[in-house]
Amino acid sequence: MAIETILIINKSGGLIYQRNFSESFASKLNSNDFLIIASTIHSVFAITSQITPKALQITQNNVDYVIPYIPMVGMESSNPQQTRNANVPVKLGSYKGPDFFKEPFISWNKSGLRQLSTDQFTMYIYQTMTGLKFVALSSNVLSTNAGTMNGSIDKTKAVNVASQVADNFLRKIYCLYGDYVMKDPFYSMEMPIKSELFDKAVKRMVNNLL
Amino acid sequence: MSRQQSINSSQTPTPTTAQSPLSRSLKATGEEVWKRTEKINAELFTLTYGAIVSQLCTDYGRDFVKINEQLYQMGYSIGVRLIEDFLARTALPRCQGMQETSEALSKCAFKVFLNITPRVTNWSSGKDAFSLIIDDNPLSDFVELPMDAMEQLWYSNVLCGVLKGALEMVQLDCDVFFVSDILRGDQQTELRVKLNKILKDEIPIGED
Amino acid sequence: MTIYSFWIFDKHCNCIYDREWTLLANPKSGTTNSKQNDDISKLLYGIIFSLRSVTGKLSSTETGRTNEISSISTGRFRIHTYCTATGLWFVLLTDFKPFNYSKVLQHIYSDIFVKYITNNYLSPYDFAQSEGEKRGQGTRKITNRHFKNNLELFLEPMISS
Repeated sequence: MAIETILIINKSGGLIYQRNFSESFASKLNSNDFLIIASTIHSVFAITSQITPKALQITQNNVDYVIPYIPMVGMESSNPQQTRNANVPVKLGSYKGPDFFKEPFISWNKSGLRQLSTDQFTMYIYQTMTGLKFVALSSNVLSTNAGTMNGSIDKTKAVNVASQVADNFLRKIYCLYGDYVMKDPFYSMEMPIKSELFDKAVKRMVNNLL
Repeated sequence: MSRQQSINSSQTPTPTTAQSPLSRSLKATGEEVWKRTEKINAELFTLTYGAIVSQLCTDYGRDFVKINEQLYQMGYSIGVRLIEDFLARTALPRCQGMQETSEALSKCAFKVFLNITPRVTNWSSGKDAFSLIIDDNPLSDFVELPMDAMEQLWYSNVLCGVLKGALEMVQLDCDVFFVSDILRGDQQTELRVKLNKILKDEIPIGED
Repeated sequence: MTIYSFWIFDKHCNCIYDREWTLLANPKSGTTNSKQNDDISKLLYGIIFSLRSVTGKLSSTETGRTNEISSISTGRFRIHTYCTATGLWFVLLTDFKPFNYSKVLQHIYSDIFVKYITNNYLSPYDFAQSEGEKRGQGTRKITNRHFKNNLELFLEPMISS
């Protein structure tokens, strides 16, 4: 999954972090544009919870909010060059390796916006219980075109897996946020993030995802 | 001697009453996450905290009311940040009431950060206030309060601030205060958590 | 797959048709053009409009094609949109089972809407009631029987399966 951009939006709808990871369509926008995009996403997020169809309100079918754990999303992959360092545990800040977490988890975002698919990109949104939103823009295009019977089963899995990978990935960005941003004594709450360590860690994780 | 060794000594068999599946899974989560966090030396932690408290005593000229207040404020700023770390690590779903909140605090939160599991007791009649009894407070290892401090100082007041800040960020407006402290000559160290109200307006949209 | 509701919006920001299936077991249940859905239609329009402006900003102009939204997912349902160059939006609210809804919407546009509304000289193609009508204030809906019947026929097998 190729991540183009990551945005972090605080609980009042203000943009506190924005980073582009490749020279793509998003890179010609200036920071003002991103501020507008962030507040639009924040307000749309709120409205989507109001238009639940009546059929859903009546039946209340149990949608499964559990997101399975997908191993090693965004972690150093095992390739021949790195097997030499196999015995050296990866430094993950305050987490003991090899990965940030190992269990499936329940999504806090039950009726807000989660995913936006267009012809050119897919946007995933992960909201935490404190109202913080992590947004990832990926240049992978998800198409739910079900062609033949065989094709449709594969596409089903591909579409589901992609959003689960995105949720796993964004939760790890949340873990990095908890470490490098929250524990920085000079960071003021709700303000834009200016931490090089956080930047580096996020960049490392995005590169590992490619 | 790291905290790991003192864990073994404090693992006395406690009488296990009927545990709900939720509390068992909270305990398991707490243990798991504790195992996966980097640790520091417990003496360093205790000494650092002691240095903070004694420096505050010097700075404020032994005005213990002000010192309590300052410790609370420090704890508050830690709490509003620590909650993000806690949620990122454990991804616990929202607690459905103060009962679940007390379980999450004692079995998960205290376990992950201080490796202690305080007991939950003294529920109020409306089930909106409870006490945490801390048996082995890592902040006050080897500490003895001088006579003037024994009347007024709550040595571990930073814990109250941490709980207040963290709970406020998940939309629970609570009052947290010490009721008794072993350092002051009382029988046990008791922390009281009282819910004022749930900040409904601030609950993030999309959570139902 | 399950369909919860179907909406059509025109270029004047009005909802000109809405059909909601409330009991999924019974494809004949539900409402058509009901007044209760007025507010919801405005919210839905707002959501799609705002997200279109976001995707428009984030699009690359290299390929020359505009960046069109294909679907919007929330935690409980999915919104599929098909936007024509004439400013018409066809919207379906469904569950999460993957299915090619864009083909469904294209079919509704080309074979049902064009056939019974656009090609029908006796039915208005522009549902604004007067010249000076402001955006979003119109209330005229599609009432053409043929359109409704064919739409029901086409969507009936897909309501719940």
